[in-house]
Amino acid sequence: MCFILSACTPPETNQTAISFYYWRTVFKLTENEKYVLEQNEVTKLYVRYFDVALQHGEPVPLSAIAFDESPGHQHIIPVVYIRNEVMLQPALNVEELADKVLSYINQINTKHAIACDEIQIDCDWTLSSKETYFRFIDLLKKNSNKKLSATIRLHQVKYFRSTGVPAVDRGVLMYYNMGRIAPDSSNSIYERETAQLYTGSLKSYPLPLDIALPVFSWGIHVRNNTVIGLLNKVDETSFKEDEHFVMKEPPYFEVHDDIIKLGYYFEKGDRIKIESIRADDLEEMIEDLSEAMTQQPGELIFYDLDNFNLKHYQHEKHFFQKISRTL
Amino acid sequence: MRNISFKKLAVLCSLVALGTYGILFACADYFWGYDYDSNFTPETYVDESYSPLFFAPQDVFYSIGFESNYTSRFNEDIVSAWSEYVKGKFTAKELSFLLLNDSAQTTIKELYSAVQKKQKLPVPYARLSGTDAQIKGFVEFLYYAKDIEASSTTPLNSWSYEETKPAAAVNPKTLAQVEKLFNETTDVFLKNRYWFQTMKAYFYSNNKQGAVTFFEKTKTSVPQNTLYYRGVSYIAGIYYRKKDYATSNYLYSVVFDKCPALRTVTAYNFHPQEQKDFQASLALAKTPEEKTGLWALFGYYADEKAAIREIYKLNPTSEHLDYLLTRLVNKEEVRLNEMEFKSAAEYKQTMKNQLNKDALQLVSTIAKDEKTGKPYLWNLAAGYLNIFAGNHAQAIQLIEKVEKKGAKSELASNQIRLLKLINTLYATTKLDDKSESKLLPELDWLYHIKDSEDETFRHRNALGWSKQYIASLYASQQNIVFAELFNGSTTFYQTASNAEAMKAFLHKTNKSAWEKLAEGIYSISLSDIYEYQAVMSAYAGKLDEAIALMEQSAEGKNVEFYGNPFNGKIKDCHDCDHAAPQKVKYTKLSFLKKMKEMQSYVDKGQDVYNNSLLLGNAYYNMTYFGNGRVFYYNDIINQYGNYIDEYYQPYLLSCTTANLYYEKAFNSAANAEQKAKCAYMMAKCERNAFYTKEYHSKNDFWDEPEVAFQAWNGFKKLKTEYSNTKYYKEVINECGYFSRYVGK
Repeated sequence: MCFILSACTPPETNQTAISFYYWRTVFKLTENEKYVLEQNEVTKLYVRYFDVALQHGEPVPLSAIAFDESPGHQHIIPVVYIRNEVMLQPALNVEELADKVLSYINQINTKHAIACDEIQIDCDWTLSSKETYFRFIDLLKKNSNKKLSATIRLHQVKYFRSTGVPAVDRGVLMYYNMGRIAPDSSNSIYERETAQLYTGSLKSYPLPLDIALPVFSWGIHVRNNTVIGLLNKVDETSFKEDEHFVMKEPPYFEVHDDIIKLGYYFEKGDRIKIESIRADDLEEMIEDLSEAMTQQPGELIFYDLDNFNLKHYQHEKHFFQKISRTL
Repeated sequence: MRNISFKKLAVLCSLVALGTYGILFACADYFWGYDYDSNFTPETYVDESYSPLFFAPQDVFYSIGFESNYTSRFNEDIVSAWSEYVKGKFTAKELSFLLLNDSAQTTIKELYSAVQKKQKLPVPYARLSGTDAQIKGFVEFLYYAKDIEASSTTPLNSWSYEETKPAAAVNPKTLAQVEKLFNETTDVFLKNRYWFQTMKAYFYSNNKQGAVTFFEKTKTSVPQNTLYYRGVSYIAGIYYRKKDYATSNYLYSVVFDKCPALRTVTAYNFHPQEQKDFQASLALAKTPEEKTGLWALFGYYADEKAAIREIYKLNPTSEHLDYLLTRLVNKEEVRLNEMEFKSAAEYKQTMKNQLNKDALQLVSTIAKDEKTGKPYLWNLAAGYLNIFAGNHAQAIQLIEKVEKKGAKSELASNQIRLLKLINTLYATTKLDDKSESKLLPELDWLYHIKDSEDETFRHRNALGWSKQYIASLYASQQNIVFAELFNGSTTFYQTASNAEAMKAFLHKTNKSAWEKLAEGIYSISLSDIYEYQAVMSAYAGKLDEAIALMEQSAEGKNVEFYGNPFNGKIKDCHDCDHAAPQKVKYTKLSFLKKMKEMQSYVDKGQDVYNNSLLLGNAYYNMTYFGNGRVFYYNDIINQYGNYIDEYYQPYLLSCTTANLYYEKAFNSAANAEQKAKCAYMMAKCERNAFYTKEYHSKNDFWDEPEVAFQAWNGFKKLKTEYSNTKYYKEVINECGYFSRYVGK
């Protein structure tokens, strides 16, 4: 009996928890999404609640989440994306903004009976917005009485002495979008060589870090060797069966005729570069990160939970859980 | 529809938010102006209603960015129509309040109740009679219209989450009542408005299909005015929601064609998902007019050339052709104008090869036919494209036609003059007195166009391009000075003979008008050149030469140092040195003279220790690491940031000369205190050499890492030989690295 159990269920180790970002504007999980969460024993979701942007010089919440269903037993962490322009607004009342953001999160939580003990802020702050952003973070921390986490970009790790470190409980290292969206064959989402320019600095970063890993793909629409658009939720299968598109040399599809497809217009001669993350890319990232980090991250968060993305990793039932164990 | 559209836009930003990208479309946060790479101003001849649809690759819509007047687009028309209807019984201000202001709800209810009960109207409308047909009609209309409006609007971006939920659907009773009023009213004005309100009420009700049925039943009986096309847009939206893209897009194209005020919003909503959707929409278009509208949107959405061809066959005078043509030309020129070039000949060949021949042929053929509504616009476009093709005689002929026959305006004159100038310059292969005098008045005009509030006229690309083109011709004629004047190079002054040639030119007193023009656009002055030469001589240790040159730099010589450039502190704290009281304020010239004085003492062997130490400090402070960076601040050197260009690294990052003087001081030191100080200063130089090698010379330099010290020789010397000095203790107190090195 014991033998059978131990063969089916790996022994409990001090493993890294896994969770997902939920980035759609309406919360409603598909059956497959629920299945993947269950198979990988995911109990926590980082849900984008709203963005904050400037309108007529004033910070406003945009695209607030609506819940079409209850998150059930999932533990929800609200994520607020704040555009850097907000922090750069010279007339910004930071105290007021912190109050408004907290109040808005509370309104959403109350409305949908969600209890949360953590808030995550996503903002690609710059040297010129650093001071305001950090003040905002301090106020959130002081007024929320909750655990506070913030996303950290790779360059903010490498140059932390200049870019500063927000006073949060944990940072989430965004281990993706590390390159430029370019017509060349590089992958802007992830490339090992690019990542390695930054990972050396992880050991000296003063904040404990969780890790966000990409599980998305997109297409880069290239015309005359210039990027003219980003095709969200697109992968190889989107074009593979269509005779107007031919993949001679990966990662490019060549457009053979002028054609409208997926709501986009493609001209003969255009190219579509598919940027995606394979299962073995994720394994490689984890391998590199476990070498580069002195402290084991508390959590691996995958961006983002969506059927379209999940299908690339469903060759194994417990894929996400499995790779997290290698960290 | 409104909210869906807005959400779509917002989501686009948010979807990539957890990434780093803000470079595409809606999220772009930098903008150089539309004339950064364009010489062709679409506003010149195209109707204003198309303006948001002009080519603007970084924006959702040209000039306005986003469509934001969903709820206010028709405000003025509404007030003026009702004003006419009520024959001035309500003032325009009252009408505006009642029709457009959300806070009028209570007043409207009171007015409605008074009218229903045939009571006196409340203040301030007591002067009016509630039984008056127009007043009664207006109040009744207002009452229902406001009720329906409440279901059609959602306060956007409020900090109240409750308010973001979708508004409640229109009450079936209200819907039935407005439909009844539509059926029963005989007043043409009111009937038309109740028709629209019924459409709107169905659209925002739980019976959206009812709008389609109602529309089909009534469409032939209503006037085809703005209200009608607003109604058609609702139907298009309903089909879109049903994913019947063919019908939806077809209907949007009808509105686009007929209702200029809705062009932007219909262009935004026109969205065939697959090729078959568009083909199916085409099959629905029954008349040449409808087909024209559909192709006009296809041109915006996908392919201007194909659209122009089709529309031209259907109706050569269609106004849609105008905006599609400007998009085609702007797209083409932006692609071509982005290309860099060095030689004029090579540039022209590249342009000729790269120009889209189909576009040239299409535009030239249509221009030649002269069958369009604005033949001059086509001649202008054909003229412009022919410049790229190298057909200059043809180009000027076409542009001159526009000059004679085109609609007149200041913008049109400017546009014509600019294209003529570009053509003339493009056709120029050699610069001599003749070509220069031909170009002079035109370039003089272009280079002195004042930046005004109205930045419609696109001339900035020509500004840069003309300079680059002229410079490349001069370069091919080996006229290095004029090549530099028109297009400055960062390396020009690195060759000494170039600097002398430029000085000779700038010193010339009897300059021709052409020479004056060239001098006027050049950003480097004689003072800058002398200062540059003086600074570089100083780095080379040639102090006499440096002083003589600096004397001639009218501005440079008086520039003051922020701090004392002879300071040599334990810690390199520029701000502290700058803030410290200074008895003598050194200028670049007096600094050099003082250095020279000290040098002469050293040469004579007088007080060698102090003079060498101070000279060491002076050479140290002249580098990037010192407190006197201002010494190398100069428009030719142009090193104001943290990263120093490779060419200047051996000067600005090197402490070799400083170190030599510290060594000299060390060797002449009279006691351990003095030796300790020199040893420490040498350690600073060694550290800077390490920083330069490891960090500053790398292209991706940002800043130094937190711990960046080694066991410098100076540290070792200080520790092993001078640990009993006072200076040693000072260093331990002030220098963290040293204190860590000695383990304290």
